[in-house]
Amino acid sequence: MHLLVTILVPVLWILAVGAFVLLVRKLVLPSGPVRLEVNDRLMDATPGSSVLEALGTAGVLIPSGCGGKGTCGYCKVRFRSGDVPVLPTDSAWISGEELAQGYRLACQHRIFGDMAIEVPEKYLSIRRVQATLKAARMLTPDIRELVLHPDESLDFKAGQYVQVEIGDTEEQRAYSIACAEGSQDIILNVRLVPGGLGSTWLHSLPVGKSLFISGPYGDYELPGEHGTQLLLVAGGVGLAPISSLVRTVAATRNDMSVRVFLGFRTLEHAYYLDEFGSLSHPDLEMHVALDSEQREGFYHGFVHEMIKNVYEPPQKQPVSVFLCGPPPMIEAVMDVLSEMGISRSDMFYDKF
Amino acid sequence: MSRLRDAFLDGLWRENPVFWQVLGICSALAVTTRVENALYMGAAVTVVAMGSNMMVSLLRRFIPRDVRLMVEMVIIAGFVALFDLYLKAFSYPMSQQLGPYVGLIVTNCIILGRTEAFALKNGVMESVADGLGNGLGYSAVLVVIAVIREVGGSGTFLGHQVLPAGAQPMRVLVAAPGAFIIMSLLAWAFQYMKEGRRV
Amino acid sequence: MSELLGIILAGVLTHNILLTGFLGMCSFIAISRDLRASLGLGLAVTFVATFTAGLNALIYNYFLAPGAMVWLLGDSARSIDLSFVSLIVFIAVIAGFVQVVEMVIQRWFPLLHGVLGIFLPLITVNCAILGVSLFMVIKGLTPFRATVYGFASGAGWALAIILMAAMRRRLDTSAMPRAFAGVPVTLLLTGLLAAAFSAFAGMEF
Repeated sequence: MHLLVTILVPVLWILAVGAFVLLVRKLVLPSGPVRLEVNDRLMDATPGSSVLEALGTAGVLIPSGCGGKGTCGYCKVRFRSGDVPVLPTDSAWISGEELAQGYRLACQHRIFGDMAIEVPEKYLSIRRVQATLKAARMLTPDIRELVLHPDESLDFKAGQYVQVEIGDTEEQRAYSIACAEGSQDIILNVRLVPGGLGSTWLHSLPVGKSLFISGPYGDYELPGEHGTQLLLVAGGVGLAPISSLVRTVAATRNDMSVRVFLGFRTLEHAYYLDEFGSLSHPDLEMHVALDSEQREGFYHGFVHEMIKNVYEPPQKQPVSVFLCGPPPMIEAVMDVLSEMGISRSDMFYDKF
Repeated sequence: MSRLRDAFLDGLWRENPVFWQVLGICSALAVTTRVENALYMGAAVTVVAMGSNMMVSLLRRFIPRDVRLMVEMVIIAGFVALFDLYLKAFSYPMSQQLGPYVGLIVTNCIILGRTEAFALKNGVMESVADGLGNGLGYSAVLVVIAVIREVGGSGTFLGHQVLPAGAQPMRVLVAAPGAFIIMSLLAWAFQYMKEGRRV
Repeated sequence: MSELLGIILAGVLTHNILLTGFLGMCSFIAISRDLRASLGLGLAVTFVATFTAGLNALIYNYFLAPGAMVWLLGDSARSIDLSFVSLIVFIAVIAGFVQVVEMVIQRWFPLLHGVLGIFLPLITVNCAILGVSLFMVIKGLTPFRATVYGFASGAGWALAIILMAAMRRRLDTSAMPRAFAGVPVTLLLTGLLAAAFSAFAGMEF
């Protein structure tokens, strides 16, 4: 009798608590899936999940940098239905005008009934796929080239990037795609950041292992206008998106003229130079600056100094600039270029 | 074998929970007035960490994701209750000394953190090694703090008088402010070493 | 009445659960770097501590305490002592309560959820909450007094974290050794705060 009571009472209490939680859950949440309308597509969502989670489950991957904590402001979407309350996390990232139009952070609002939202059309093509590490090599003492073979090909544009999921953690890291448009494989350049979680993991990943990537992300598009001059500037591992652009243009856009300006610390830290040299394109020029080493055939100094000395903007052609590298380099180059009369609205940059 | 050793060493030193991650310092402060208390508390945390890591690792394929936190808490609480009963039965005075702080092991973030971060993803043996490493790492820190506080604050070590009779012990070390200040100085030293390590 | 006042003053000042009981340190250190978040977490802790202390006291006094089930099972239950499982029941009640509160405010009070929401999961593992329930057993409080005690302890914890957050605001602009910034200086300040609060210890209720 005593033993029975001793066992039963605590077990019953724990079960009672559990049952109560489930009961409240039933009262609070509608049973069965609710309908989420995204642009003009209808999808099912689990009640109680955040809009961001529901979109992810349905395969619509919108950018999110903080994992749903409301601290990055990337997952902005427009709510078409009802009046959604403005949370402090919303107003921290979204302007009053956009709030009035219904923009909110997808990670901060939960779904309790049918709902209609609008996301930028380009996010609908983003997918999460498993990819196998097919080959890898060290390009420089601290940059590893990873050749990933995704199970389904990602339809990316030159200059875009993918998010890589870091092993068992919930962390993700963004890496620019370094290969030409249309490639089945995805090539990434990963610089080892001492103590960095993502780069350390990616540097030690053995060939043959698989990982998850999502993408493609990024807004850049090659200018469609015939005969544009493309000015590409990269510092260090910022070369990755530039590499994709150079290879793509060499293969598909003979109408463009391409000027490439690259900056590295020493020749040992430079990579892809031979590959670029063997590309056939009627009007491709490449200039390389080394800031910590003097070498024949290379400019000694910083990229922005080299551009100032070497580059002359064309008189009649339109110019489109893509910069990728450390923020101080980008700022210095942008200053030099705007002094030459190139408008900042023609400059696209990717700082890291 | 080296994976077991790594799991163990990471907890003991390389990723020592108290200092590198500032977890579980509630009891690190509360029970360290005497070295003996710290030893018992350290033993309790080590046993519970090993046990709950083992159980969670064994059950990891059967725990539904939605309720895993509750399941983990109940498993941990079960081990803590067992240890509490053991103390009551075999060393009653110590059970009185530690009081509710034994029960509070349940909310010691180290244990929940390890089940969540390690045991849910790793095999049984690694998880036990991880629990042992983290438990011992935690105990080591407790003992260091307790030695400072007991010798400095009461002039004794494990209950034996060690300071010369004429020396006046610093009572403040035994009181709450002393605990915070000692912990602060140790954390300072560790952060200093950490910066050296990370550069 | 004066007894209740005594419980409240003891919980907030003389026996502050954080400054003398060292409970809830993890989230104290992590969250006190932000004043607004500290307010939110302080409120959430006070709320949860008040109700879980009351609920747990009810369960303890009517089911788990030695001989508590006489009202249910008659005299034969006089020797039943379930206090050894109270820990497990308490933590289940706390975890369940937090989950229920989270669901309810998420559904009907989204603005409140925006303020408190991210802190609620932190509360299950906040040892101050479980500590209140365990101390209440040791003090042998009735359910009503336990509720008052829970409220007082939660308020004391909130007071400590808000004070600390206010102090840490000043630290942002002070020069100090890099290794001393962050956790060490927070602990040192907590020590000084504890020393200041120990001045209340002379008050007896």
